[in-house]
Amino acid sequence: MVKENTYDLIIIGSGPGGYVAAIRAAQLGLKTLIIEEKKLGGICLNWGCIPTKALLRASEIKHIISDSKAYGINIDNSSDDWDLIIDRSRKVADKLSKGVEYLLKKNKIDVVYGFGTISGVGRVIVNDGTNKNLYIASNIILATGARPKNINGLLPDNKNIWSYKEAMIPDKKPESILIIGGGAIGVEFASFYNDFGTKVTIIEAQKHILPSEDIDVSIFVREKLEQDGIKILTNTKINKITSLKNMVNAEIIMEDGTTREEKFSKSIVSIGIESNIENIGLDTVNVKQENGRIITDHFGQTSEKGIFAIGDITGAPWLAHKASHEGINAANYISNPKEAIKHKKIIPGCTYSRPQVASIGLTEKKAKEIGLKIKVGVFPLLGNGKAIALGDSNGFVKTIFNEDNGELIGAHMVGPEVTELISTYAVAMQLEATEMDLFNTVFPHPTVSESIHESVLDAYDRAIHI
Amino acid sequence: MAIPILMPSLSPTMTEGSLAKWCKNVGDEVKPGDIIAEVETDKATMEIESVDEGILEKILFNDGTEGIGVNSLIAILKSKNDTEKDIKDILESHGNSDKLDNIKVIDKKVIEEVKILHEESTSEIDMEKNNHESIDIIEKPIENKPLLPIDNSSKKISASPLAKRIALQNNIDLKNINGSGPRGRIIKADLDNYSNKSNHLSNISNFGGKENIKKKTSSMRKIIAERLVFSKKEVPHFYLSIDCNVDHLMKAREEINMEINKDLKISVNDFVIKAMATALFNVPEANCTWGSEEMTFYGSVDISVAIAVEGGLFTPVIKNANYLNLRDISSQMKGYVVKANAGKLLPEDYEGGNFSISNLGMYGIDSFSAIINPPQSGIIAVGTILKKPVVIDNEVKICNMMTCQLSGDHRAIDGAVGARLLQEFKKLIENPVKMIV
Repeated sequence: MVKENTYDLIIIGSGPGGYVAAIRAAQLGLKTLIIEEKKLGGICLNWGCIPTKALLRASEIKHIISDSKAYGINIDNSSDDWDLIIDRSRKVADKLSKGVEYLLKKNKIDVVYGFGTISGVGRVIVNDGTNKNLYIASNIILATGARPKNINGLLPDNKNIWSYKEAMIPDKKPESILIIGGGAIGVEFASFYNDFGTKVTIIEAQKHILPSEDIDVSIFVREKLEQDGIKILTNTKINKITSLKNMVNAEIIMEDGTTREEKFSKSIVSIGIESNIENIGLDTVNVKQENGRIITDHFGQTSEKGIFAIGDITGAPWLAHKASHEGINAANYISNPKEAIKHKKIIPGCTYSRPQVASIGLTEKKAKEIGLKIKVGVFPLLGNGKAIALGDSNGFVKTIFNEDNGELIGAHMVGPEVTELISTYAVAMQLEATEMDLFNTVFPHPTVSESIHESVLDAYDRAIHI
Repeated sequence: MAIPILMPSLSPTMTEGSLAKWCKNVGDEVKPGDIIAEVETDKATMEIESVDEGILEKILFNDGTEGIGVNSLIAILKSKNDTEKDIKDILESHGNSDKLDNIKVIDKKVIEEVKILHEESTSEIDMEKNNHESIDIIEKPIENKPLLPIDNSSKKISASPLAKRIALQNNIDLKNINGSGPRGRIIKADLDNYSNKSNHLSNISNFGGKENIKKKTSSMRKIIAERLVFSKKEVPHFYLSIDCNVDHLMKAREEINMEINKDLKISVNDFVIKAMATALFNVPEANCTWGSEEMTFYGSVDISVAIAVEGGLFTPVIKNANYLNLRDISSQMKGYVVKANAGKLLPEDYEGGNFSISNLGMYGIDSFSAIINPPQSGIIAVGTILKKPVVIDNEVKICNMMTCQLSGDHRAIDGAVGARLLQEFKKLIENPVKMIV
């Protein structure tokens, strides 16, 4: 049975790209349909950003309690309820998924559950498992996201070898865990499990963990994690990982080239992401792809008119806020192409480990590679009153300017709640503030954000509290 | 009774003026003698003084508005008993009744906003130089009040701090850039695009060339252009050149200047003025102006002297120069230079010369041909003083020589008259004692 329905816009995927695009489109008066295979909110809300933040909040509280004597508070006999910790994380995710459902309803956006496949320009067939229904729209946004990369020898078995998904809903806390891949996801899980007492080992193939961050950040975080008992092996690879009955056996190729076998209770594979571009009907339209991602222009338009793509399927950085931004951009363009204006997209990145990491723009290394003359300011949180009062002055703020014209080209931060502070730099960069504008900005005292000011001042040898 | 304030006629040649700046805001009390505004005429910036008393009720053109016709209504002064109708009547009686609907009035608040905008734009990075006309007036129509048109050509330039800095560093005028940011804001990318385009062009045409800069033509330059084009087109110039031995002059000058205060020193040019004035007095047939019906022969000798200023030149007049002594001429000239550089010369300072002197000697120019400043019939172009071998009594001597070239209007004076004038001038400048006697 084929039922026909006609819309202005059909969005496939309800993650932070899709549902945000849908709301924006509805605001602009477009009759919008959103298609979701599983749960509203996509990976971000259900299995990514949000539930992991709930877990990390628990580990942070755990850490504070373990350190409570330093604040003059004696908490004896504290204990963990693992089930409750996991349950809270799921409830937070559910709450937000329901929030998305409410928002879509409020904006009169139709939702259809099933697997959406393009069937030629302007046509989407949704398979809900029993029926296939055809929907028609002059514009389609693909927002199908991405999934962990599957690599032979490192395939998750859902039992002992986990992907991020299993890693956030374990029945019980593992004794030891091997985290393969020291990127943001790997480091967050390392931080979480370590704070709950699991013996954590991170293996990273590149020279540094958090390899896309500024090297100073990578080194600082590594030292901090190692101080907290995490074992970190860089320039190290996994040859093979085998799931045994209640553990895994890892064949590790060490930095010096020797191979070593080691056993762990569990392993998390977090070594990258690939786009969900299979089976969505790209063969029925002329959508250009490259290295497994869809090529788009500034507004998300693909090489096929009327078909847009946003978020993870368009490639790195695989971040929810990038997807949302692209979604809004695409909806604006679809509604009124003439009024859509290209703008600079500077995408900050956040890692919610302990310590937190946040960054935006170019790293120092990258800036030098492309031949920029730079000025760099670094301010250690040891000089920040609020951080000391918080009892967490592990970290620093690094700011990079173009020496020629004072352009703010990068900022890199480690420390308490720096993920909240990076927006200051995002705004400054979007508005094209120069060092002078930041000098002239008044930062409230006492806040960790004063470190931003100091870091900027330091770039011009004007820092006060160094 | 409300009092209309009109664009004054500040010189006989003035047909329109620019409103350089308001010195009073709407709502300010104005007393007789108060300066209300500064008006830029073809030659100078003039202050408008109020002869009446009242409250400045309306301002009809914002700062920087150009081309306001003489006698146009520019503001209205309100006295205590005036009503809205009185104001409206004035607007109507000045020919604005048919435009009442699309006319705008600037109120005090707006003026303040303008000031703020102005301050913002000048703080930190001084944008003023390039685009003081670009400050936006936030136009605010006021209910049921008649409004006058405001110059729409002025447009606020919105640019990011970084874009402003890059523009400043690279000498790019933001007026030439289209902003692609929110609400037309100019961002770095726009400047990059602009530079890429012009770099490409300049790479082809000249290596490492700088950007061309477009600047608005000042009213002074417009007037200079207009008058000189007229002169070169209409006035048949002829040129006579003479070398003058200024040994005596140099010696006399040295002796005079030894006696007087450093600030009052007599310049070579002062001697030239005095010599030319005396020569004209002695050759009155050269002191005239062509007219197709009747020619004017002047009863006095008033010499216009060219003074170079930033962006143009002025020709203030030394009146009755033949009767003035060197010290008077010198002090008048010093006063004119100060005023000219401040743009504060008054019409009476530069109107009514009979003959002009242009001296480029201080720039090392040997000799040159000047363009006559109409309606005058002659100008003398004075070159630098150089030591040259001169044959005197069959002997070669080294003398201080100065070449002067007369440009004459052949309609009014012939070659012979010009030659006699130059001979007379030479006689005087070579023997300064003669011009003092």
